[in-house]
Amino acid sequence: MNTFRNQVCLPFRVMFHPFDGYERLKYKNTGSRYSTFVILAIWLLVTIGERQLTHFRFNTNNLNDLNIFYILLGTVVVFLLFCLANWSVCTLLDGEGKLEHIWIGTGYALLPYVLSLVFVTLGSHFLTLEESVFLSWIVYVGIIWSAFLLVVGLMQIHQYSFTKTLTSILVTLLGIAFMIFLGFLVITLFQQVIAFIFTIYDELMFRL
Amino acid sequence: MRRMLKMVSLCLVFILFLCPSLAYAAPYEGYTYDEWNRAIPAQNGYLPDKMICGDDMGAGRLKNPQDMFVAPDGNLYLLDSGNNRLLVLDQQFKVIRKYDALIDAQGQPTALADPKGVYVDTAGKIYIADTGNNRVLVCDQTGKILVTIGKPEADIYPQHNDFRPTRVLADGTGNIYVIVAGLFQGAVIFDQEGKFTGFYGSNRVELSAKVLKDLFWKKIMSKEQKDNMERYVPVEYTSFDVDAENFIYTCTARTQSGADEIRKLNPMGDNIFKTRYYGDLELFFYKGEAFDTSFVDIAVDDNDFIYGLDATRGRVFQYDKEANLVFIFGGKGDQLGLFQQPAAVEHRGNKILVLDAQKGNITIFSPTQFGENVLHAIQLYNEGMYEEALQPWKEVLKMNASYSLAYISIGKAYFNMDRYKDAQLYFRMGADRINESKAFREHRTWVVRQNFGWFASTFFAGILILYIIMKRKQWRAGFRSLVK
Repeated sequence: MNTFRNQVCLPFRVMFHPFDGYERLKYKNTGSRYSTFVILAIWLLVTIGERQLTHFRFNTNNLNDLNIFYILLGTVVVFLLFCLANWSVCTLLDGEGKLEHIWIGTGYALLPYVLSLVFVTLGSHFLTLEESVFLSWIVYVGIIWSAFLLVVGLMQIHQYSFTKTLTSILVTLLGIAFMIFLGFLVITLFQQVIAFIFTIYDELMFRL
Repeated sequence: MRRMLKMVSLCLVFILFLCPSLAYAAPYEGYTYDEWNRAIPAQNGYLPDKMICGDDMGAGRLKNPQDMFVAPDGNLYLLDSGNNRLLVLDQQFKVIRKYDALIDAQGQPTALADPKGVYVDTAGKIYIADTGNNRVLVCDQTGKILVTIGKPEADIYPQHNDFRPTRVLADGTGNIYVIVAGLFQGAVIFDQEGKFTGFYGSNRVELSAKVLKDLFWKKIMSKEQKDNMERYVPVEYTSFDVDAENFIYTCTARTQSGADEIRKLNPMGDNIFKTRYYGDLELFFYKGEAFDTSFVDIAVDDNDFIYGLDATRGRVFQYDKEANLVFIFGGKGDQLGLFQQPAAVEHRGNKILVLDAQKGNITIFSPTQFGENVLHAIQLYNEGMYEEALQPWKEVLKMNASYSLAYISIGKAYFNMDRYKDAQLYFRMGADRINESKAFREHRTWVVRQNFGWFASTFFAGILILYIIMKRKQWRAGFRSLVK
């Protein structure tokens, strides 16, 4: 079941047969965590590639201003936050999903979007500005397909009805916002504590 | 032997110190803006020649001169506003005529009071914006006043303001345009006899989020609260100039949106230039105050190059007829080439003159070799003579490899010559995406035509392979049943 060849083909089979694929993921543990790591790494590389390697015609980014940290934030960190938030929220909403299943399911759902980015980057070298509609279409197809896979996947993993899946996704987004807010709070508070300690140290130095 | 070497090297070092270091020809460093609107160093296009002060002209010290104008006959008319007089200077900047007072209709002399604007038309008539006396005067070369223009009494003219004209010009048909301080309806137009005919080129209040928000609040607030709120009035022009085709170029000190500080207005008063930013493109804050370019004067020369004078940093911004930035020069300071309080800019021939109100002098700038190459190449480019401009632009690129207009122009020349791959490369270096796409389209068509055999066969081979892949299970099953 878990041979290397199976693990490589599995994301593509899930892409084309979502209901089947996600059912097998939940009940027969067919997915692997490592393939999701690989998909995440590819996503990171492809996002950087799309920013830098899109042909000059379509590329309005300043190529010297590449900041990988911000791209990391926008891809890997968002993925992590989504999985955590979804797991926490769905536990409260009586979902059956385990963190491992959510992790693998969301990872497989990303694949169409990542592939669309690859095609867009390649296509930008062969299309003129007037044909830029095709590039937009490829991205839209990728996004819609990924969204579809995500919804179907979450439905299967948590055993929700369709509307409950959508509400759970909304609440997940709220959960992400809440987590980011908490993160900022913690960082600010720590900054205050450290500033306090340093101020005491400075005062002592002045008075001794 | 070693001692000899030591002595020789010491002597060489001393000689190096004796050589005078290269004197800086200008107290400012040339710069321009790249495609990301960041300032990058560039060669100077203009260098200061000399300064002419009042004593050099033979007129005593100038006091707060506010405006000057180069007449069609080549003489320079200088308004010595603090001394309430108008000076006429020849090509060598020597005074040939002085107007301390003008003769009115009754033959009585009447003095000027802090005049801020002067203009001379092709017939030799002199137009003076006599600000302190709330009037505009039109007089002939002898100083006899032909027309006096005071505050219009029409209903549409706001009566609560004093009539304080700050700039004046006349177009080819004799209409007189006046910029009045504190008036936001645009420039005021008078006909040849001085009769008020209307407004011109009123700046519209620019829509912004703040304006919309305040509009909403104004509907709910009480009258007292409304009176205390900021009033939204369009920004007034600071100066204007007219070219040979009767297009009026205006400049504004500060616009609400920060764009379109320089405009080229058609007879309807609409701006012909696309929306863009003029002056310094990087805003910076010092002690909570924003320092942005504020244009106080504008000049247009015979080749439609536009010069905008910025009072914040004392710089002259030169744009071509398509409003592309060409050069930036000048600055604030005391040395030759810097100003304390720049008041007016003019062109005479290919030299640029800048009037400094505080120092009371005129600084003359002439183009450098690089500047002349660029100006010559731009003129050829704007006339569409791309191939003739190829050589001049290559000279420019030898001196300044980041001049994007040069790349775009060379790209267009190659495009016309059907050298699409080269055109594509040059457009890319000039950051022109639209033209690069066009050149690529032509190049792609050519490549496909050249290699049509390969493309066609790959296409059909691909279809064949797809067909085989889709039918393979069927064929394998059929094969097995045959073998059995």
